[in-house]
This record gives sequence, C-alpha cells and structure tokens, in this order.
Amino acid sequence: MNLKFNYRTLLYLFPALLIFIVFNVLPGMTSLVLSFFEFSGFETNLFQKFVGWKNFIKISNDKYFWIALKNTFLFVFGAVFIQTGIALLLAIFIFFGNFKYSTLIRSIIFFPCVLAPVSVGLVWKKIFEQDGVLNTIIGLDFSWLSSVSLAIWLIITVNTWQWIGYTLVIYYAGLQSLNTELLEAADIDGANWRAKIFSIVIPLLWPTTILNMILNLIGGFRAFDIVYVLTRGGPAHYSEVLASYLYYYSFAAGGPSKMGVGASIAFVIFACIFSIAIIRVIAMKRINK
Amino acid sequence: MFKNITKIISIILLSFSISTALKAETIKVIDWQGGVVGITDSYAEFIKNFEAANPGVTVEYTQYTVATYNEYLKPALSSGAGPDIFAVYPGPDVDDINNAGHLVNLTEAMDSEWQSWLGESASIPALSRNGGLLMAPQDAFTEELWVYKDMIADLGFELPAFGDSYTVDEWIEISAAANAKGLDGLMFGPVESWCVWDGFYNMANQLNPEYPVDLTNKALNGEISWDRDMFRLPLEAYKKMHEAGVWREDSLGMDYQVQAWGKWLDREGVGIYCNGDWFTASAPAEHNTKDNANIFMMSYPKINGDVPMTYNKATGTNLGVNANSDNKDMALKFVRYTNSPEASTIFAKNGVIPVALAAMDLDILAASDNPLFNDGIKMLATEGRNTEIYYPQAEAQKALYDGIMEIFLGVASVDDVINKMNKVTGFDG
Repeated sequence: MNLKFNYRTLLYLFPALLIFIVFNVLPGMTSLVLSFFEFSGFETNLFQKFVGWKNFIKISNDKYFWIALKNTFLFVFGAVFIQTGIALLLAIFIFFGNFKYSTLIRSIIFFPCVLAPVSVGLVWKKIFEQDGVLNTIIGLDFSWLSSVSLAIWLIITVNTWQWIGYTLVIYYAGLQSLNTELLEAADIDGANWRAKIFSIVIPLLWPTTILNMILNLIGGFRAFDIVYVLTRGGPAHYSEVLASYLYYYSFAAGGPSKMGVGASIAFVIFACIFSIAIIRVIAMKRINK
Repeated sequence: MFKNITKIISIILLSFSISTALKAETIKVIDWQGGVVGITDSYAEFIKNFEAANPGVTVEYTQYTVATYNEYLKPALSSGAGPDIFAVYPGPDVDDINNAGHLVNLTEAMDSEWQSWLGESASIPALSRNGGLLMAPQDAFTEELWVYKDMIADLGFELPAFGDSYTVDEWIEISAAANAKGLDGLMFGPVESWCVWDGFYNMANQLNPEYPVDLTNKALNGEISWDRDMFRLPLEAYKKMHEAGVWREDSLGMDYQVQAWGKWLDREGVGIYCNGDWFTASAPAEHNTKDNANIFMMSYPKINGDVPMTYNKATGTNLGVNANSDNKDMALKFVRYTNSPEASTIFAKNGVIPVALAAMDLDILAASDNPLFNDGIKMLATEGRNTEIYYPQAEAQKALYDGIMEIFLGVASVDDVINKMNKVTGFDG
C-alpha cells in the first residue's frame, strides 16, 4: 500500500469527514453521554448532574416506553416485510404484465413518495376522522385513530402506502437488470410462471431485496413525522414509537421536559439499529462464504 | 498585495463593529401566541411605539405555536444565546428555566409605578419564586366554555345566568339532544394536556372542602391522598361525560387550538371546551357583534347543582427577561412598557384583556364593541372560587393526564388512576 496515496485520500475525504464528524458523530456522542445526566434542555451546562443509569431505569419502568418499543418493531416489521413484500409482487406484476401504461402505473404508485409526510398525514387524518371520508363511504361512525389497538396499524398502512412506490422502483430497476436469458432457458425447459418467479426471479433479486429491507428498516426506526401528524402518539401514547416518545420527553408542550430521558430513548434506538447492523454484517459474511 | 490585505481586514473589522453595534440595539422577543390575532396586533403597535420612543432600538418579535415553542426555546437558552425576552409557560418550565439561571428577578427591577400598574398581578405565586416575580404577565383571562346561543335555543334549552354554568348532567342532556341532530355537544382537544388538567382542577376545586387551601397542590406534592371525593368525583364526571358522548370519540386525537376550535367555528358542536378570553379577538365576527351577540361564555361544568361557582382565572402570556441578555436594561424597559396603561389600552383595543387592570377604568373597558371582550371583563370581576391551573409538578401532572386519557379509552378505571396518582406522587398513607 502506498502511504502517500493514503494521505491524499484522507485529504480528499477530509471535508466530508469533517461534516460527518461535526454533524453526526459529535451530536451522537453528546446524546449518548447526555443519557446519563439529568438535563431539562434549558441549562447552559449540559453535563451538570450525573445520574448514572437513572434515566434508563426510568424508561424501563414506564409502560408507554414499552408500548413505543413494541410499536417501533411493528412499524419496522411493516416497513421491512409488508412494504417490501407488496412492492416485490407489484414490481413483478407490472414488469411481466407488459401493460400498455406500465410507466403511468409506476408513476401513480410512486407519486406519494414525492409528497411531504406531513401533507400525507394531514390528508389521511381527514380520511380517518369520525366524520371523515372513510366513514362516509362505508357508513360507519367509528373513530379509527382513537382506537388503542388500531391506531398503530393505520399508521403502518399509511406509511406503506406512501413509500411502497420507492421500494417498487428499486425492484423495477433490479428486474430490468436481470439476465433474461435465464428466463428464456427456463421457457425452453418448460418451466411454468410460478417456477420462473419463485425459482429464478426472486432468488436473483435477493441483493435488491436486501437493499430494500435495509433501507426500510432504517426508515422504520426513524419514523416520526407520520406518527406525529396522524396521532401525536395518541390516544394516550398507544401509537407512540420510540422517536415520537423521545420527542415527547424532550420537547412536547405540557410534557415532562426531560431531555436526559429523551437521550436515553435515543440510545435505545441507536442500540437497536446497531445490533441489527452487526447481525446483518455477520449474516452477509456467512452468506458470502 | 499588503495594502489589499489590509483593506480586506479593515472592511471585515468594520463590518463586525457595525453588526455588533446593531445587535446591541436589537431586542428579540418570542412567545407561543401564533394565531392569537389580538396579541399579534397589540405587539405590532407596542413595537412601533417603543421604537419611536427609543430611537436606534429595534424590536424583533417572533411568534411560535404552543406545540413548537420549546423546539426553539430550549436550544436557544441552553446555547447561551437566547432571545432577550421570552414567554414562559408557568408550569414546570418556570423552575427549570429559573434554576438554569435564565430569568431576571423582575421584582428587584420594578419601580413603584410599574408595580402600581400591575397591582396584585405583581405577585402572582405561579409567576414568582422566592418572593420575586420572574415573569411579567401580559393578558388576563378566565377559562371558559363558549356556546352558540342560537344552537342552545334550537335544542330547547335555556342558558344559565351570566357567571353560572351547566352541571355535568345538564351537559349530558344537551349533548344527547345535539347528537340527535347530528351535532356534537362540546368540541374538545385533549391532545393539549392542559385542556384535560384545567377542567379537572376546576371540578376538584368545586369540591375542595378546605378552600382557599389548595388541596390539589398538596395532592400533587404527595402530602395527601388522591382517594377522596374532590378527586374521585371529577374523574367520574369526566368518564361519564365521555361515555355519554358529550364530545365525539375522535376528540381524543384532536388538539384544541386548531382542530377543536376549527370545528366549533364551523358550528359542528354547540360549545367548545376549555376555551377562554384569549380568543375574544378571534371569535367569529358574525356571531360577535353588538347586534348579534350569539356567543355565551360559562365556566367548566359543575359536578352538581350545589357546588359553589368556580372559575379558572389566570394570565396567558408571561414574559421573562433573559438574565444573560446583553440588552437587559432595554429588555426590561420594553417589558415595563407592555404593562403600562398605554399598552393596556392597546391590548383592550385589540380585544385582549390586559393584566394591568389596576390602572384601567373597568367600566370604559367593558363597553367596547366586542361583546365577548366585555363579557370577559365582567367574568373576571365575577365573584367565586378561583382555581390554580399552573402547577410545577411535571411527573404528577403527566400521570394525571395519562390516567384521564386511559379512563376515556376504557383501559383504566377511576380506582386505577387514583392508585397510580398516589404512587407517582409518593403519597405513603
């Protein structure tokens, strides 16, 4: 290895590295340290009162934290499996369907992705209201977003609706780069469509599936805006996810105003994503071997 | 080359000096009253007058909404570069901000004239710590339920006398009649936690056997048990009203300031819960003229017909002066001005009830062209019990809010909430 080359590489990397360190690493480390301090958010000295594991004990005794954790995993499950699964099926259907207006169909499905999640949330909130569009159509007088058991699933549905086009487009790109000779060979061998899809197309799309799952997994853990706009974590914190509960502890008007506790929730989010990243790296190494 | 470098350095230094000089004359003021027209219009006039009286001084006034206020204030104050003047929510935030050393003790900075303008408001306990006033109150209000008179009449009910209010059972009857006509009884926005607390505090105070001793404060401190009628009956009243459909089920996902208020303006409901005088300038104009005074204000529901009339009278915007401000003296001068009779007259003109009523002629004030404003003045002068609504116990209030919401959702009983409150407040029996 050429040492001189490495110095030059470092020099070229420096601007991006500096921005990454200043805006990602340092705030992340500060947040991590802050989770061991009592900090309301108003003090000029962030690290005034060391409280050890108190913030973590506090959230572990808070039933709404566990609800938020469960909801976060449900949300991630929805994004990783439901969204990816439906997008895969849609992509295959559109790609092999040879529809006349397949570009238009893809554009329509992709359209919600270009909308701001806040706008999407507000529109769906109107749809789900007690006197909203959905109840008017089906003739019910039901409060969808005030339902303890339904609220999080409705949020997952809206999130899937918004981002499925993004996953679909990545799949579509993957399908376009497939080696069609394999499918032609399968045709010659007399394979039916099911065999071609499940034995050739889906296995060949595995790297794309992994990419989509990782993107959706990260997006799932970061979910905040759609939850905040649709339910603000309610009713009574029952649709809270970790990011929205972090916000509640740190900034919400009338909330507990404890940023130290909020930082400990941020640490849990980090720990979840980090653990999954480690598992992925190990799994990929084994697969590659 | 050297000359050019010298020139550039000189220009930079000059620009820096100019910007520093300009900065020294700029007072930054922030509050959370986004959308409250009367406050916005009043401050526009204050700034115009203040800048005219203090040449070279610029006042920058920025409004946020309640929901987004702390997103700005916390980083601003903790960075040490916060605004010169900022509104403070008189609940748990007061102690956090004061303990962090951000607030000037206004009592020490007040001259006798300023004190005389404020009268009793110069020593409001919720705005003071250790005998010192930390925030200068701006506007006074009574929290109320507002109802459309014509809708009440259409439903076949009579309004109570001014100052009186309906009982919980009467609200249930009115709401049943409203529901039968496809309307809501009360629009309610419990996503804003104060909408839940303040009604509860009012109903608890109606039953307070030791009034004027504040038993709610004692309970929040864990000094007395929550297992008593004055807390149990309001929880049961909330449960009863929710189950009877006094407000719609999806209220549980609504905020007060935008959704509940908007639906009430659209006349989807007869009344709006936990409203108040701060909206006298924002009331629907067609229902608030001298010829058509179609809005009636009343206090929170009475637990029963025998309880004393109980009000929630308080102050809305409360301005603190940043102890770390470079322009502290000018900031104090501006806050002082906002309490002056001149500023109070501007507030009144814009439909905001000024807190500095000590220097005002109430009869003149209560004869404006805005019927709701006039009624607000009358309501403030109406005798009855007054309820504290600003408590500093963050954890206990969070538990109370969560508990009431769980009662609404049917996942907790009144007993569950009472036991939880005893546990959270540390009441050991």
